[in-house]
Amino acid sequence: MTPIGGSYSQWKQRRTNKLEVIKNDMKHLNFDINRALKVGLITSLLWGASGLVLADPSQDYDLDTLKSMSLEELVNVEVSIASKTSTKLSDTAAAVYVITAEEIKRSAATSIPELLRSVPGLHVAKINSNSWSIGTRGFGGQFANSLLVLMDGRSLYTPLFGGVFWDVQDTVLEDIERIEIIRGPGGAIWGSNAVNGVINIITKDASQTQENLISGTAGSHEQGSITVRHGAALSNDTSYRMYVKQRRLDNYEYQSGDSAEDDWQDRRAGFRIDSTIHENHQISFHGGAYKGNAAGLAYIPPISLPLPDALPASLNQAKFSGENLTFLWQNDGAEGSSRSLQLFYDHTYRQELLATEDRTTLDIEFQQNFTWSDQYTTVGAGYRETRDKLINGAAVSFDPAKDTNETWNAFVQNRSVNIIENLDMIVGVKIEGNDRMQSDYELQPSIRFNYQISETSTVWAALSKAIRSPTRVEQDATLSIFVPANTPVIGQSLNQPTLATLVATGVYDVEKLTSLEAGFRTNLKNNLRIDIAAYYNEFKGLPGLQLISGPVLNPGPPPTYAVSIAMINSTDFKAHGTEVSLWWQPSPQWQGRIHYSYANNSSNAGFVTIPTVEHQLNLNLYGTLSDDLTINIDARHVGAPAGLIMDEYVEMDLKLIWQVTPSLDISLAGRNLLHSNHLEYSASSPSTRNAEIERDFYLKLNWSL
Amino acid sequence: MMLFNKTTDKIMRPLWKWGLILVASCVFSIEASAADALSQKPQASAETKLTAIFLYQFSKFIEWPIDTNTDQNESYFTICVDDDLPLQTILEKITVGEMVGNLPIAIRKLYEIPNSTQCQMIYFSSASEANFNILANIKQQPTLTVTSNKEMLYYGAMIRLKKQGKRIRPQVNLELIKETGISVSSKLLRISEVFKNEQ
Repeated sequence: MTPIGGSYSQWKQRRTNKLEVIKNDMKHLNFDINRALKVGLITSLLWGASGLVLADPSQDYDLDTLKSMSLEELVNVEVSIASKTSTKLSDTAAAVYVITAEEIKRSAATSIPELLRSVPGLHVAKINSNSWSIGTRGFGGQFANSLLVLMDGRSLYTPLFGGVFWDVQDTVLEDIERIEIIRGPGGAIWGSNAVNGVINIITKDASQTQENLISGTAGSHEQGSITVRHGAALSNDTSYRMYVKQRRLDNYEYQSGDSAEDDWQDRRAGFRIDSTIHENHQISFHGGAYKGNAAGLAYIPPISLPLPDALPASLNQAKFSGENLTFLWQNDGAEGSSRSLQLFYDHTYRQELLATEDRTTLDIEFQQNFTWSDQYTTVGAGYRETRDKLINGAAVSFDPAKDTNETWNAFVQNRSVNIIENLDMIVGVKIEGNDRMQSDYELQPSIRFNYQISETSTVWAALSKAIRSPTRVEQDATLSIFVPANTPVIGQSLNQPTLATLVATGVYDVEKLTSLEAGFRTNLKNNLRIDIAAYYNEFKGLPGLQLISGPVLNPGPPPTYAVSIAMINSTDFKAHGTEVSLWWQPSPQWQGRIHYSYANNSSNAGFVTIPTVEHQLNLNLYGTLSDDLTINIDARHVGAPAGLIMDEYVEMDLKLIWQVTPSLDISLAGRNLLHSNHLEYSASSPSTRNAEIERDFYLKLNWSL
Repeated sequence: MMLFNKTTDKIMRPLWKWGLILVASCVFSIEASAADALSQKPQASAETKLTAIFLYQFSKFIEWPIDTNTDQNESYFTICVDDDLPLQTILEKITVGEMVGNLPIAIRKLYEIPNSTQCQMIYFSSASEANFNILANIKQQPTLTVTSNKEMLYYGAMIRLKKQGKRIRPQVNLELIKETGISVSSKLLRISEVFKNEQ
């Protein structure tokens, strides 16, 4: 135990310096010098960049692709190198999937997590009415982390544990322009946490929503959701929209037939203003606020012995709210150069039985694109400060209760076009520093190649490194875990129930990934498209547990054991997998999609099980039945996740849309049609039990006026 | 010593944050001017390609009155382009073998055509004296006039391909179009912005 204790105290001291400034003069001074160095580094990087010559623009659009696009798609094509939030650089040499506004309209999904179900390489499972597990490439779990999730440039994952509270992430689905999903490490250009992927939710420019919309949904599970949006133009160059939305969802049941008491509701409002100044300066200002509550039964272990035979159920009434504001300034310079500056403020509050989190985040990011001969370069830098106040709840306590964490980064990425004919090379590196890292900074380099075999076929390969910064939970939390009898804890299986106390040691450091990826894309004829991606990942320093003391037998009654454990970066393992997507349009009226995802994490030998779904198959069929009637069918086969006790399942969703008039449509949807109820996941937290997902129907009305 | 450190912290913290903002805004202004000075006209930018695609799509989502083209010897659907050569090249590429109704599409140079009413569609890339004259001459004629220039729209072009942020969206002067007997499909109108010349 000594190594932990030793490095812990050193580490803790370093961190304390930042919180209690006065204690250690010399080290504090050091810290400021470090900070000044960082500023210097970023400054010189940006100034250096500004001196370079700018030439012509970048994006190479395939004319055939453009020609086959619908009018709706054409108005969404971007004509200049976009900023990081919609970078096209990664499109070519990475595994990218895009959910379009058109697909959102067709889909029976009524929430963002449900929309993600059909994405290859993504595993979405509903744990109960208000909790989801969303993971990429075999990394699932309710507290799945290492995934960067953004909405209009604002980061949605909580630095509490690096994952996302999906129940609070929502907006007017009709206002979403597209959702871009990048599987695999996006570390070289994207923000922190982009180890296993990036989910980027982009809403429409206010100029594209210049009408009013009233939308209502009601059904057996959807207990009534209503959206009112007003959009208009203030002038030729300035548009705005604002909305209010309310959702109410019913509870599910357990296998036993008892109510899971997981009904929930929320209300939100938001706005967005977009303005073009002098043709090439664009300003976007948007924000939102929400408030809601979600319930569920929780089985919270006691903090001290003795343990009961079975944990009593208590109702976990989660309350959440949040407010956010984002300001974005983009400027398209002469051909091909562009720059953007983004600031966001985000406040979130969430009160649960386990803990209460009150968090305020401020973020500033700057990015510059420029081109010189056949080189396209992006440089950028960012700084984020997040302050939180945690209130200890049942079974979890945090020390310190208040914390401020700073993250800074700078990156440069260069694309060399045609280094030999049709071969592009993209090299990038990002330097990132965070108070919680043990080193001063971490480097995340990547190199990507894109080779255009023919007009219609491309092959790409990438080698990249990504890191995940440690979070509050791993470094500061002490929590109790109830381990049933005969369940192994750190290699030991005890014959009585055990109370395991996970002690905060503060030593948990960054998790690292080295990833090798390759892919192939082709258009076979005009109506058949294939996209294949494969990866080989080497993870270092994923969570593992170390025994600190125990087991100590408490005679009871009932007899129980107590152990103290600590989380350390002890798990290294290799993973591999493949994703195959196929699009087919047999006739103008019908189109189909098949995605198959394979993920193998089997060499994961650590204690902390990563629930991995090995095989998943998604089918989509969309057809026009008549001039005003369309049908959309989504079916999926989801394999049994390794490490969890549950079966594979097959389900199907169906939606019919009747376009009554150009401004009015009515849709009827049925979801999970094949079973009256089924289990999609086992919860990874004692505060959430897995409910059975029910078959449900709803009627939706969309009226624009 | 304590006081000194507190002060340093007070100064350094905002410095670090606002330093970034300052640097960013400096780069903004410098880049903008440097970019203007050093820019070169590209061969065929994404914008040009997209413009060409829009022109091609207009031929599918717009209907011309039936008697158009009857008095012409050549039986082509003619798209005329002013002196934007990259655009013309791309248009030629994408319209090879394409038909409007039963007429093959032909791309012509606007200034080489004796009578601009021979064009079913004209694209004006800029606001020039010559273009203003042509526009004035074909007013009320069933020739669809498209431009990317704001002035040309105000002067009487029917559709402007307006660059809005990073995207291009048609701005349609519907009243003007209706007067000539040309009709625009609702599909096109749905993605367009309606323009009214309030003078």
